[in-house]
Amino acid sequence: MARLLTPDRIIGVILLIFSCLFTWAAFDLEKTIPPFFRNQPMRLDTLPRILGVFSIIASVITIISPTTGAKRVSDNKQLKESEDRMADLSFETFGQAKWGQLCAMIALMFVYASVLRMGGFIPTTFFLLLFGSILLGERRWIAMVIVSLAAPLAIWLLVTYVLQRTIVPLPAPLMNLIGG
Amino acid sequence: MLEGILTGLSAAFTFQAIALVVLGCIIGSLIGMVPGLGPMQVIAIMIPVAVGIGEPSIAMIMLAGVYYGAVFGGSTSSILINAPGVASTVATSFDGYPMARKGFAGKALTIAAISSFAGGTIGALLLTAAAKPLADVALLFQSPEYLAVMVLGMTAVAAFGERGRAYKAVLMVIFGMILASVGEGSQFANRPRFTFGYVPLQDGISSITLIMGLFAVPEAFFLILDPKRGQYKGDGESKEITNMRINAKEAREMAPVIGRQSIVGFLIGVMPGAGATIASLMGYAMERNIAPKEKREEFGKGSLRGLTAPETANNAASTGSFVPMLTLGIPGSGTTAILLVALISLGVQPGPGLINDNPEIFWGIIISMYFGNVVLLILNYPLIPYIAKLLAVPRTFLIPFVLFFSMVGAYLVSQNPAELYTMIVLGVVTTILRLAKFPIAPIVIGFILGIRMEDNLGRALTDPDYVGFSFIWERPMTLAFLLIAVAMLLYPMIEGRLARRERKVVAHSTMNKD
Repeated sequence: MARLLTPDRIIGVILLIFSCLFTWAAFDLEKTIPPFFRNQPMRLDTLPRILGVFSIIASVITIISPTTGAKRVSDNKQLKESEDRMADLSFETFGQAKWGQLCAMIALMFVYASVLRMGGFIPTTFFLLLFGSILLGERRWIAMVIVSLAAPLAIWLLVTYVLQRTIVPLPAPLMNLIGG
Repeated sequence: MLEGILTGLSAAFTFQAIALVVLGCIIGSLIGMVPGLGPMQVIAIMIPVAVGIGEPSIAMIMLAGVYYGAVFGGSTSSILINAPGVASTVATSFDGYPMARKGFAGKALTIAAISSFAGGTIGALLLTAAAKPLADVALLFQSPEYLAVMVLGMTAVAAFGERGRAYKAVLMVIFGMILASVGEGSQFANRPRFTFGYVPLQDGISSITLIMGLFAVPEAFFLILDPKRGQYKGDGESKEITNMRINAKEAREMAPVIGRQSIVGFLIGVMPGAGATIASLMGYAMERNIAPKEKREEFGKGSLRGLTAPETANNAASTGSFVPMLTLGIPGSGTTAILLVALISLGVQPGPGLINDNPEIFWGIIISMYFGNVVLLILNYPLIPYIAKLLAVPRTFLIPFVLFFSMVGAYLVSQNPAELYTMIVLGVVTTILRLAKFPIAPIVIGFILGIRMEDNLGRALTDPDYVGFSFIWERPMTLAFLLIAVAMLLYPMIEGRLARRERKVVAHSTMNKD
């Protein structure tokens, strides 16, 4: 059973479900094509249909392929050591990773995306960088505050004055107050 | 021609032109490092400044400096933080980033700088010699040939599957093409597809958002998950971060790659619509496919050839894309389209008459390419050790910064938070795929080439000269490109089978001896 449930197969099954849904949606697109366009050799659903069928085939191949592991390719000693340090975690080394920190960081990014417009670019980014560093264990407070303030300020100045594009720097009430 | 070169030299070698090209290189390098801001955006921003200069030849010389600076800036963020700001530097990150994380950031940046310089300079030489005849050949290329060239570019995916797992790379390239089919990107999608009523998806997924979600964000996630990831061992290796030295063996390995990719990249750049992205992907695929077996296995893990090839090819292609612009008035890429706008804004009509009517502009631009490349190398070379030290920044600062830069890049696309949500979701999905050892680069290859393939396939299929797919055998160049693509895909499989058979024979004979 353990051999059956390899990471390749788990992802293969997920992608197969996705591919089936995509293929269904691709074939369903025909309804949206006006009658005049239906006899064209190239329609808006031509490539999606082909892609849908091919993605199902490729997913099935991923699921049914033998589970014997792919070998590490390098014979060079220095390269091997570097590969070890660069190697991604895998499903096998799942337990050793800092999942709590990652989930908290993803949550922080979602909060940033949600409040960016309302809260203004500079204060929102300041808190993103500050809380991001705190979350990862940084405690050099003065450095954190300086860096977290300087970075959004520099980017805002670059975007506003060099690129001449508008990013609202402060929360709307504050902008109204200063007449921005 | 000699007279033209002298005219160009006199236009480019004035104090004002030199000062402006230096300024252009600095501005281009700095802004180009910000994800989401590539040469196209930077040049667009600088058009008002160019128009303000007034003198077309000087203004265009400054824009050429901005152009080369932005291309190099994009490579820097690709190599150091795995955040390719534009599609043309995606292939740079395939080997540049692993090399930097292994502790050789200085060397990776030096290779990028030298390859860019060589690609750009050889491209400029080719442009000087062959601008006119090449423009005539480029016009022979039609949709079937473009389609075939893109199929050839897609053979790059073979480089990313683990040995014997090429199907995973193929699945990922299809996944990339599926992502590209969302929205109204293709000219044959006369209404939005697969948006499920979600308005921000109507224009499709932005390539910047996708690139950030596929590369920069998951890299930051892995740095969070595994604090030991990519840490440098001992003082000796920390010094390697800023070490820029390339030894004689490495230089010998780089030289033929630079030679080949300068020519191939330039020729791809000459074809209108092909551009630096396809050149860099094709260059990567080509070098990977022709490399000796042991060198091929280093691709994707910090290969010297894997970094040299796309960096040379994209710069040579950038130069090549000036051929149709200067000689025919046809933009060869998005960037040259913007430069064309700049020329028109300066009161110059690009086209076949440019070389005779405004020789100082035509040759001034060509001379400024040599000049821009030299200035860029002189400016950036001493700065490489300092730029490379970015990697020594503590992870507690580096990770939030990588995420911040990625989010700024995505947000600047349309200033819509939906871009950020898409990027975060893509980042999470990519992290899961990487945990299961699925290659990610094929997704972006499928995404970038998907829409263009659909457009060219559509144009070929609707061409009244052909019946269905008859363009494949009726157009020799198309057939030749497709056959090369098939050979490139089949070669690793055949080679693998032959190697297995050889091993079996050896094992069998050893057993018999025993």
